[in-house]
Amino acid sequence: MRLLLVEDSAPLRQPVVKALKASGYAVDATGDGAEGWEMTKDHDYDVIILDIMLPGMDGHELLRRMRAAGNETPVLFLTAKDAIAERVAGLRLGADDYLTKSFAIDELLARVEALGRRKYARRSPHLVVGDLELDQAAKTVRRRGCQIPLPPQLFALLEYLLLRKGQVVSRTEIEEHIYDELVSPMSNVVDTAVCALRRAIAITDQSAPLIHTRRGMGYVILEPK
Amino acid sequence: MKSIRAQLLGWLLPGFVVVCVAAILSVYFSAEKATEADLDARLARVAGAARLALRNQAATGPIGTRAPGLRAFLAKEEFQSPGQYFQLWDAEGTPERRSPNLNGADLPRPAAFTRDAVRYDGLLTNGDRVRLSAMQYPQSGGHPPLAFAVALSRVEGDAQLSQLLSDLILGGVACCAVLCLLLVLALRFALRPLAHVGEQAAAMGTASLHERFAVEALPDEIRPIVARLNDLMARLEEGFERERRFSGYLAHELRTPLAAIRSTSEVALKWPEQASSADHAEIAQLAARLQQTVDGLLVLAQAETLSTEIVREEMALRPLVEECVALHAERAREREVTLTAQLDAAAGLQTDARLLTIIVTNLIANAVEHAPPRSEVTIACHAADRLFEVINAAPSLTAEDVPHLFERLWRKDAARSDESHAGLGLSLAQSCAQALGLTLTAELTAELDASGLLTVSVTSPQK
Repeated sequence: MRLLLVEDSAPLRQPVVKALKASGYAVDATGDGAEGWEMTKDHDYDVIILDIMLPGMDGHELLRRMRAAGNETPVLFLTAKDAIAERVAGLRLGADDYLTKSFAIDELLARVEALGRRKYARRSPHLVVGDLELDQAAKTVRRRGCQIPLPPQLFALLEYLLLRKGQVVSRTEIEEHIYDELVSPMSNVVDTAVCALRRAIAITDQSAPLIHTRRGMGYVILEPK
Repeated sequence: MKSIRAQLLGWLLPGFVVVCVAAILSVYFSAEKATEADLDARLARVAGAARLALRNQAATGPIGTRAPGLRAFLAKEEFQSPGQYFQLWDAEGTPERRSPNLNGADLPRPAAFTRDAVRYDGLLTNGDRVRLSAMQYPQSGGHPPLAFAVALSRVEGDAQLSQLLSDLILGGVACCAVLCLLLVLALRFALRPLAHVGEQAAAMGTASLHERFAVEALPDEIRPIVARLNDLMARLEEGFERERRFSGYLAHELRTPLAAIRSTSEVALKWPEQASSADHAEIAQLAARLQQTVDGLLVLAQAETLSTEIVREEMALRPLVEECVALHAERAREREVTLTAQLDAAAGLQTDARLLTIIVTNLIANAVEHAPPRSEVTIACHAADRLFEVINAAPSLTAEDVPHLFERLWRKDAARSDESHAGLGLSLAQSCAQALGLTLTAELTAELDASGLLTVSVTSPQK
């Protein structure tokens, strides 16, 4: 999943980006509200983490513009303001969650994960296809009871394909959701990653193929026949 | 102290009673006087009729010959029953005639009979209290004068006066009761707005400081008091709002670096392979920033309570300002800000050097930090009321910002992105100025290019 973090305090932004990336998310970050607004127009983020007091444009205004533009991406407000009136104002503008500084990094990750599930209308953190099971909370993948260790980006790729199970996902969509803005759009990083993922989840020669290629369109993950 | 209601009742109720008693007595004595006058007038008429009766007969002889005028007079109905009496005496004082209703008894005689009527009170043997009029009646033909007296009973007049008195007492009591009731009701009605103000004040709390008492509906007497209360509420609301803003600023000022320290530490613990010495350096820098904020607040708290520790001495301003300017020269160069000093050598005052240094250095630091690059900061001291002033361009400042300049932790940038300072410098300068009895003021004037020019000045009442 691809996230946007808009937080003007660099000392806070850096560890949060590090934690999100270590958890398998693709993260874009900025410290300026106006720049954040431009980024929401350019990319389809899965979750946006937003500070309220921002230079350029405050978080409330950014959220108001997003919702007015029809952008329904879940938004988590991350702010030092904890007054009830502030929370109510944020939630009424269309925020999905609110986290007050300072916070435990695990709580932030759990909330981001929950918001990510909400975007794909899921409540359970368990994603299953055939004999393969992915636990979004524990960040584990098992097939026939055997745990499969996956690097963060392959985990994110598998998670995204499972969230879109039965739907053809284009390379562009995968790039949008799995890789941050530093990845070149001209690279074949998606094909390489899908290939690596197929190898990783095929624990035996008899393992049924789960990820299928739709030529000219993208990839789809399906229940084995 | 008694309540206004009790005090008014305590004065007005006895007052009403006294007024009522005085009115009753006045009416009663007037009525008694009128009754007396009426009795005397009737007595005069009866006496006149008696004289007329005596004149209409000739004194022809001894007793019994005075007829028929006197007989007809005494045959009148009034002399047949108690109420009106007559008696005639001859020159020797022997009773000659008396009205039948005297039943042979005598009327009380005056000490002496004269030609003019003598009026006096008396008591008859039948117990009737009477008013009498007695006089001599001269006879013609050399006969000695006769004497007669007429009397009228007081029973009827006394009964009327008694009735009047009882009526007046009853009326007075009823009047007092009605007045008291009206007074109680009037006081309750008149004091209702005061009670309403009291209830409204009792219901007010920190959450309702925006409410005000409705002055228009109040009586004129308490309107000024309630207007002052409204002023007090406005000041309280402003004070609470200032404290709320301060709490918000402080939360932001402390929470963001704390969150950064916590996140950096937790990420380093959770993913140790990603931790680096840069994380430790970051944590140390954030801790130093927190320390700076907390130290600033502590110094501010001390400055607000150190009025008893001030040591005043005569000192020249110029060397102190020059020293402070030198301290900030490096930072000014970094920001490409030109420092221009206009220092009067005669400027000086009796003050605490330590606190004055804090004021001057914070004002200069504030100007150097906030003046736009390639602009000029003017620092001046004078031998006048306006001791010291710092002038710098402030293009982003508005007139609405000026009242907030000396608030603790206030910053023009609501996002508080600049982490190099916390917004305590001007508050600290103002606290020190107050401790020294100096006044710190900020003034924003518009330049020709519509940008603002901020002047922060220190004035002294000593000068």
